[in-house]
Amino acid sequence: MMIKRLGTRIIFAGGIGLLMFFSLFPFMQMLSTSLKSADQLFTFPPAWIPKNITFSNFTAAWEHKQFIHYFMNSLFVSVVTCILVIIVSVLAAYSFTRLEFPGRKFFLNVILVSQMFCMSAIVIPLYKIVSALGLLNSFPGLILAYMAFTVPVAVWLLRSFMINIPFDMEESAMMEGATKLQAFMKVVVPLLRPGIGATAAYVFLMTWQEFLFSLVFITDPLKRTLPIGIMDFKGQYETNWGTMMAASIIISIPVFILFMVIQKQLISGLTEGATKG
Amino acid sequence: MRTRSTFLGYMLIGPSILLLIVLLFIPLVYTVQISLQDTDLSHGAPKWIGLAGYVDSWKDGELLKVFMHSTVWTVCVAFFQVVIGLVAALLLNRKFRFRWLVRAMVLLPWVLPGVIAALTWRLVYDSQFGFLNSLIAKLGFGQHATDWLGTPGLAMFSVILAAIWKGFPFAMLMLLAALQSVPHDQYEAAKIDGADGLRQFIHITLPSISGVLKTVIMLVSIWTFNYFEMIYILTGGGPIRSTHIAPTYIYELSFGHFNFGEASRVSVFSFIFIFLISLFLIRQMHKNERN
Repeated sequence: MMIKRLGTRIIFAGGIGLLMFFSLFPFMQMLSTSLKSADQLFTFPPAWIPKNITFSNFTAAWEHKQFIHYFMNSLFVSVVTCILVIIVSVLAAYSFTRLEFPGRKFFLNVILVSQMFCMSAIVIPLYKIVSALGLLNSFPGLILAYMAFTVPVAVWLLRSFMINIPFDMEESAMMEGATKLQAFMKVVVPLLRPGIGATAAYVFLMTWQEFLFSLVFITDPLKRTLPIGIMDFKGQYETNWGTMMAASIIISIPVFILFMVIQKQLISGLTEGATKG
Repeated sequence: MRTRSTFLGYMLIGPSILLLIVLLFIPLVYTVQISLQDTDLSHGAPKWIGLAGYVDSWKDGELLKVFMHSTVWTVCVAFFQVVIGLVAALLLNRKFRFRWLVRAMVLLPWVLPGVIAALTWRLVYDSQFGFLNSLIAKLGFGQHATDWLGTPGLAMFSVILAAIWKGFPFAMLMLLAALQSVPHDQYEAAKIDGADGLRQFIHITLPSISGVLKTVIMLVSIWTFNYFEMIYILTGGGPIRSTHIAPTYIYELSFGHFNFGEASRVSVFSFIFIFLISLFLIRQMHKNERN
C-alpha cells in the first residue's frame, strides 16, 4: 500500500513537472533572448542563461520610433471594440433571456452559427466592403470587423451569465413600481458585473492579438497595431531577436495580468454556456 | 418568466443581428458571387464562369493537397490539444500545494498573443540558436543542427507541435471546470463498489464531462482549421508548399496573386468543410442531451 502510494505520487509529480516544462519551454528562450546583449545572441550552442544580463533590449524596444504608436493604436482599437461589443451584446443577451418574441430561437441559432465563420473565408469580401465604405486604413473599419467576430461569443457568454440571475428579483422590483429599465439597471447590472468583466476581457484579448484583419486592412505604417508592428524588428536580412523578444514581453504583460484577474469568471461563463446551450 | 414583447425584443437584438448580417452573412453571399468568376490575372479581365470554376479548382491537385494538409493539421492539433488538455486537467484536479501557481503557468501559452507565440517558436526551432536542438543535445542525443522548419517532412510536425502548445490550455481550462463539477459522492460510491481508478474514469468522469468535452472538441477544431498566423509566420506554407493549409492558401491567392475568384472558391470549400464538422458535432451534442 505504502509503495503504491509513493509510486502514484512520483508519477503525479513527474506529470506536473513535464506539463510545466512543456508550457514554459518557449518562454525560457523568449526571456533568455530578451536579456542577452547583441554579441551573446549568436553564440553556438546557445546559452540558456545569459552570461551578462542586460535590459538594453527592453529600452531599445520601447524607444523604437513607432512602438508607442503601435501600442496606443492597439489600446484604442481594443478598448473601443470592447465597449461597443459589450453594449450591443448586453442588449441582445437581455432580450434573449428576459423577453419572448417570435423567432427568438431562430436568432439565437444565427448567433450560434456566426461563431463558425472563419476569418480567412470572410476577409476578401469584408476587405472589399470596407474599402467601398472608404474605411481601409482606418480604425473604424478594423473595429467593425472585430465586432463582427466577437459579438457572437460575447452574446453567448453574457447570456449564460444572465440566465443565472433569477427573474423573481426583477419581478419583485417591478412589482414595487420600477420600470423594466430601472429593474435592469438596479438589479441585473450589479449582479452581471463579473460576467461583463469576463466578457470584456475576452473581447480585449481577442482584439489585442488579432493579426489577419490588421494585416490586410491597415497599410499605413502609423496606423498599425502591435501584432503587425512587432514585425518591424524582423529586418529584411537579419532579425533583431533580442529586441523583438523584449517587445514581445512588453506586449504580453497587459494580457497576462488581465487574464489572471478574470480567469475564474471567464471559465464559468464559457463552461455554463457549453452545458446550458 | 419571459415577458412577451415583440417590439422591444427585436429592438434589443437588432444591433447585434444587423452587425452580423452586414459583416458576416452579406460578405458570405459576396464570396459566393466572386467565386463564380474567373479572376486569374493571366486570363485578362474577370469573367463570369458559373460553377465551372468549382470543378477546375481541383484539376491541378494543389487544392487537394491543401485540404489534405488542412485535415492532418486540424485532426492532429485538435486531438492532441484535447488529450493533453484532459491529462493536464486530471493532474490539476488534485489538490496540492502551489496548484494555483502551476495552473497560472500552464495557462500562459493560451494567453500569449498568437503572433508572439509564432515568433517565439521560430526562435525555438532555429537550427543554431534554437533551444530545441540544444535541449536534445543536453538530453544526451548529441549535437544536431536539425532545421525544424526548413525540412519538408519535418515542417508539418513542427507547426503542429507549436499549435498544440498554443491551444491546449484552453481545453484544460474548460475540462478542469467540468471535472470540478462532478459530484464527489459518485466517486465514494464507486470506491465502495471496488472500482479502480480507470473504471471510475470511464464510468463516472467521462460521462459527466462529455457535454463540455464535445463543445471543446468543436471549438478547438474550428479554431484550428482557421488558425492562420502560426503557419504564416513559421513557414509561410513552405518548404516546397508542404505546410500550406486553407487559410494561408486563401491569403496567398488573394493578396499575393490577387486571384480573388479562386480564393473565394477555396473559402467556400472551407466554409462547407467547417459547417459539416460543426453540424456533425452539434448533432452529437443534442443526442447526448436527449439521453
